[in-house]
Amino acid sequence: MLAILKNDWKRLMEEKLYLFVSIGLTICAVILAITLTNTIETKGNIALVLPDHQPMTTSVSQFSECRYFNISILETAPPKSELIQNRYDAVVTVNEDGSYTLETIKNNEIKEMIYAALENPVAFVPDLNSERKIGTNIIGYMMMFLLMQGVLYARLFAEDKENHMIERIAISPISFWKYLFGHGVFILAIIFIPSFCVIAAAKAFGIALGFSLLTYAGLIAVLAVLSTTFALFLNSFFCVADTANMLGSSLIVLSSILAGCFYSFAKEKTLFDKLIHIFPQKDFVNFANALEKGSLTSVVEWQFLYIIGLSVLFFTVAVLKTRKDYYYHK
Amino acid sequence: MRNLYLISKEDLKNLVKNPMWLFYGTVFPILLVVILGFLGKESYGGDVTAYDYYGITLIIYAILTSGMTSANAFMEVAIRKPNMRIIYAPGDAKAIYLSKIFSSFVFSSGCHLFDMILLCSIYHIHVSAIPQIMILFGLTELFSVGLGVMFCCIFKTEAMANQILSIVINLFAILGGLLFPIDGYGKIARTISYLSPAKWLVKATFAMIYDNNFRWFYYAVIGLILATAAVFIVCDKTFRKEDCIC
Repeated sequence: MLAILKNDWKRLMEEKLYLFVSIGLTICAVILAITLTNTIETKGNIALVLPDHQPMTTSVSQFSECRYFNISILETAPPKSELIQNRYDAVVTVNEDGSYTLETIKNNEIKEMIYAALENPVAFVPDLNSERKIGTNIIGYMMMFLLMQGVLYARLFAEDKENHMIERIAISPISFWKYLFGHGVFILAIIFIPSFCVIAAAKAFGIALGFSLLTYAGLIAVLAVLSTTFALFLNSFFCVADTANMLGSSLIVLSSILAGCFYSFAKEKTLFDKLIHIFPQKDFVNFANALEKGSLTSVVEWQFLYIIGLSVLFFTVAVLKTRKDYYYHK
Repeated sequence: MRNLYLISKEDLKNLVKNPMWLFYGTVFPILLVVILGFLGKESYGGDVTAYDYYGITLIIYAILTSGMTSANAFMEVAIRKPNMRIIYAPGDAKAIYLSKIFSSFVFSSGCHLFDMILLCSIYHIHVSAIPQIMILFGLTELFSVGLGVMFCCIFKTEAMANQILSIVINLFAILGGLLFPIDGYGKIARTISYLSPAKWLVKATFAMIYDNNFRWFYYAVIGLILATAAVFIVCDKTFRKEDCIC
């Protein structure tokens, strides 16, 4: 097993350009995750349009200081394309007689919330319980990239298959369990170390990250395990690295978006939302969310165990499938 | 020229025959739009629907990912031996990569045009300024297939080119707000998002459709032409016909 680790390391060192580019991209992705999430603590962006510098009435000025919204005061209404791109959630135009009109492309819930805030700016308190906190968001954003990394580095295993190295391994004394475990440990390390280093560095610079470093280590490790085992699982079914890679990255993108890694779509309690729990990403986000809010229930713990179980299953299937393909049976 | 045409024709046949690429080019974008549009439906009102947003952004996403198709068309295992024959044949060896660019351009634009027509007729996505959008998307398509081939020329193997390309494209997509709108995420996010070419495309397209504003369109077109020229130059400099020997 140690021989495999050493060999993997030497092979990667042969392709330094590749290694640097992929580690650089990981670091970019994690930094992106941290910068994006540090700014989304408000309930929405609102454009307050005051034509011709007219003075604000008291209720409007109180509204513009409301800390739950990010309010920009403009002279002319923003173009509609900015609303479509979610630059502003709503445009409030103050007319000359002090009345206002609200324009939004969003649903009625947001409309009512803004009306409530306009009516009574001082007492307005939105429902913040449904929001995710910083740590969950960072983990959610990192998740897709960490999962894709697994497919990226599982090329080491895929190349063994493509170049028929694996047939030699099959007749060597090492068992497939140990062989795949060796690759797994290597991939795991190369996913875990760069992303964790960025998180640790961010912590050292004093950026608020939500979780403690130890928790981050645990969460990233679980994600890296899932990513590694999924990639090995996928590669055990294909003899061509490209097919596994294309299929793997499109599956990961699709399921991560569905599971709401970036953006929580579905509301709880619909059938559809329950079905989405098949994706481990959804369970993972749920777990991180519960952990951060301190509301761990047994259901959430089971969801966490499901992720671990799925990883074990992926790994077992990968080993069994590879063994079936390459051992001579008759 | 005739060589180039003949090789491109064969490459196109090779692309159309592979069910995986057909799936990736036609079904995958539709699936993305249907799923994301369905999921995002609740947060939009009646005037503008989630499909109006995702129908545009995800087609741009699909166009950017067509770089993976061209990378595959260039260095797929099955295509390596034919490539080697072209080196020995009389004529310019540059036809190898140029033909891959043209054939995957034709292939992916065909797929995405079909997707757009289908999606617009099913979900009544609000579109205007169609000729300009066609020009913009066509140029983007040329740029992204060129980018795929460029990565192949630089990294020499297809697997590596593909994997790095997919991470780069996804970073661009998220920064550009293709998978979810990013503009609401504060000033820093908005500033970084301009690093991504996807952002310029989205902005240009929406400004044309909803504001009738063509300023961004001209910027995007000029930027794309420059970027495509750069990609072609890098291809020309880094392509060595020895790499096709196997």
